Order: sequence, then C-alpha cells, then structure tokens
Amino acid sequence: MTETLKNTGFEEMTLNMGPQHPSTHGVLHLLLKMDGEVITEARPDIGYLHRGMEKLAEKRTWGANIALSDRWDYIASMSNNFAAVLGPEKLMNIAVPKRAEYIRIIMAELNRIASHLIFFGTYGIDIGAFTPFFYAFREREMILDLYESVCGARLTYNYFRIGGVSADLPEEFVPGVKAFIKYFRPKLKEYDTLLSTNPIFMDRTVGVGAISKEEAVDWALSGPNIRASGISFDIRKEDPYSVYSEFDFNIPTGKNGDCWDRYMVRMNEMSESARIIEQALEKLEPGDIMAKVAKVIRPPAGEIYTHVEAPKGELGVYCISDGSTMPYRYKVRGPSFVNLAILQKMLRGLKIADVVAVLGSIDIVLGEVDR
Amino acid sequence: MTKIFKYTWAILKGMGITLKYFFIKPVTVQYPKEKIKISPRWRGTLKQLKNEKGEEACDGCRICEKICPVNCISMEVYKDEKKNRRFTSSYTVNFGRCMFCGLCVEACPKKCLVHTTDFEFCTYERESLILTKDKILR
Repeated sequence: MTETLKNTGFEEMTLNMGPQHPSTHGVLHLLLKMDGEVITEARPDIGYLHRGMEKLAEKRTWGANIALSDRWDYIASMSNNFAAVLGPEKLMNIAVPKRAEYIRIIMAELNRIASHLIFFGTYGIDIGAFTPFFYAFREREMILDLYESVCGARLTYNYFRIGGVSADLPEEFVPGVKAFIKYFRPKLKEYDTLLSTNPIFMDRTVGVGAISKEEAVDWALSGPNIRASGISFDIRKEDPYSVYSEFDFNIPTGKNGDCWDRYMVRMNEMSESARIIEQALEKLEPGDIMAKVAKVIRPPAGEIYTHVEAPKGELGVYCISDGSTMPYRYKVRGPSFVNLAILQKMLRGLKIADVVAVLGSIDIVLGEVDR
Repeated sequence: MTKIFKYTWAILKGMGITLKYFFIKPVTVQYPKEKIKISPRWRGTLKQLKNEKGEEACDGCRICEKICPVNCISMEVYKDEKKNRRFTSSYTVNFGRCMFCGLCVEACPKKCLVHTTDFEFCTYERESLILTKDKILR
C-alpha cells in the first residue's frame, strides 16, 4: 500500500492551515507538507493584513505617524508609540521632562502586562484550557479602564507625543494602578495553579518546539523567545532607553527554549513589570509633561535607528529625515515578523497536533507581521 | 495509576479556583441593559462648540483639516466683512474614515472642536457616517 502511494506521489499531502483558522491568531496562512501526521515542510504565508504602513508613513507628518503606529501591534500600542517618538526626539535633541519619562514607563509596562495576559489567555485556548482566557481578560479590562481614563481610548491610545505625553494623569490614575498591582499579584499564583503547573498542560508543552541558543541567535529572535533559550537579552538592560537604567528589575530566562519555557518567561515577566511600575510610581513627582517643542515638527536631516523592548521583542524604527515635516523613509522592524520566521524550522518533524502549541508560544500579532 | 491520580488532582485544584469565583459577584456587564461609565476623556465623535454669543466659535483656520492623518475633515470658509472674521459655510466630517486619534481636537486653537463621549455610532448606510455642519455644531 505505502509502495503504491510512494510511486504515485500521493504519500505527501499539502495541508493549508488558515488564514481563517481561529488558532493562527489572525490571518496567518501555513502551508504544511505532511507525511502522515508528521510535518516535513512548513511555510508561513503572510500578507493578508498588509496595509503598507511604511509607505503611508512617508506621506504623514511625524506627529501623525504616532497615531499610525498604534496599528502595528494593536494589543501593545503604548510600546509602538514609544518606538515612534524616540527617533525624532533624538534627531531634534529634545530632553523629555522627568515626569513624562516615568509616565511613559508606567504605560509601557502596564501594556506589557496586558499583552502577556492576552498571550496567557489565548495560549490556554490553543492548548485546550478555556478558563484562563476569562481570567486573563478580566484583568486586562482593568488595565484598559486605566488607559481609558488617561487617554480616552481602549486600544489605539495615541498617547505619546514628540517631547512628552499628550495629557497629564487624572487624579484617580495613581491609586488605580496601585490597587491593580495589589489585586494582580495574587492572581499570578492562581494562574500557576490553573495552567502553568497543570500536568496536562505540561505534557503538551515541555520539550515541544525547543530552540537551542545558537538557533535563537541565528534566526535573530528577540524578546521572551530568545530569553527562553537561556540568553539574557533585553534592550531595557543592553541599550537602556528613556530612564530604564534607574530601575531595579530582573530578566527572567528559561533553560531549554521549549514552549513551556517561553510561556514561563512571559509569566515571570509580568511580575517584573509590576515591580517596575511600583518603583516608577514612587519616583513620580509633579512637573511638566511636555518639553518645549515647535508646533510644526521638522527634525534636522539625518538618519537614526531607535529600538524599544516591546512585549513581543525588539521593536525598532529606522527613520531618515530630509528636514521636512514628513519622514523620507520609515522602516519598522517588527518583532513578530522576525520571530515568525523560525516557525518553518521548528515545525519540521513535529506532529500536526503540536503546530498550534508552537505557533501560540511564539506569540505573534499579525498586524505587526504584515504592517 | 499514579498518573491518573495526579491528573485528576490537578483538575480538581483548578476547579477549586473556579468554584471560588462562583460565589463572587460577576464582573460581566449586561450591555444593552446596563452600561459602564465612560471616562470624560473618551475620544468619541466630534462636536463643535458655540461661543458665549451663541454663534459658531470656529473661525475656519483649517488646522484640523491639515493635521488629520486620514483627511476626513473638509470645510469651506468665507469672510464676513461686517463682523470682521471668518466663518465656515460648510464643515463636513467623514466618520467612515475617522480613526479617532484626537489630533484635530488637540490642535484646535479656539478649543471649539471637542470629543463627545458617544460610542454607539453604527448605521446601516455609509452615507450617514458623513456628518455635516448642522449635526456637528451643537
């Protein structure tokens, strides 16, 4: 029987997974070549959510590009805003007021928690546990309420400005964040009981889709994915931007680089983010929130690459200014896009049932993959 | 055999947590019947304010039109010689294009363009997303 299949070329089967598969986190199309249940070749096919963000940016002013940056990684818009403002600020040599810097860090770290909560919830669903999803979204909703009170939007914040932030914190924000951190810490233990140490979950993830240190470097991974392989690479420590060098926090790392390690690194990062927020709240003092910037922003001609540690990894913006009100070139290095590339190597030799576990563990957002 | 016990115990532990929440007030909001409180900073649809004399405060400086990243605002301006100031003869916002970034409100020098806290904004036709001056000037 197998001989006949081999001779007629029917043994290998091509399976199209997505773009409308609920577990591909959006519109990812995976072309899988299968030998029975084993994957022999996997090819991610992207571009279903391409909006031409980099080209659009060349016809928008520097200020308007912050509003567009919300749409790259739409579940961590604050980090995108951060990356979008750092470049022009450096070109124009703007010193951001201290209060604005701390507000920015509080926002970015809250956003990291929110983004990792989405990962936690959806990864549970990918593996087959439904309860974590509700709990994760319940906590995320509190963060979104805080954001709404500050900048008036729940998803596309458009909060950062070149030279500061758009609005000062309302009165109820600082107590609200403190209450949230106090409420959130015990929940992390609950999550561990629910999912992290659950033997069924561990059977599905431990040892699956392991990435060695060398591979992680070769494929230019960043963020929690490279840290799970045991490399302590974090831009907040390696190349501190803003005032991150003032804070005391650890970088959680994994050992084997398998799905469970990648999951655990994110879970540990949430408590580290909570630590940073607590320190930033202590340092927060009244003061200006905007530096003195001209109304029409014209950075001097030049080029610059700035990067931030977004929840997904290294989010970099390379911009060239020709001295006009619009960027000449605006290149975005999206972490999801780079991290997705290793999928074709990881999936080879795995069973079809592990595809969703591996794909979920590298935590992509298709808005950032395609841009 | 020990494996079965281990798995069952893990499930029971998880069930314990869910059972705890069974007796706590639900956090979900029954949307059409009850509504959550919207923050006053909410970036909803746009509204133009009138000045203290009851006439329109906007003097047609076109800054909001220029700053909009998606070009959803358009206006026509004329000059009133008697009052010695400009007025808009039409002011149209296409909310089908608007991405509610709030840049126009921030840039308005007269502070007469503001956001409302309105968030229920769906219609059956695309034409009704285009709001003219009589609907925006409130």
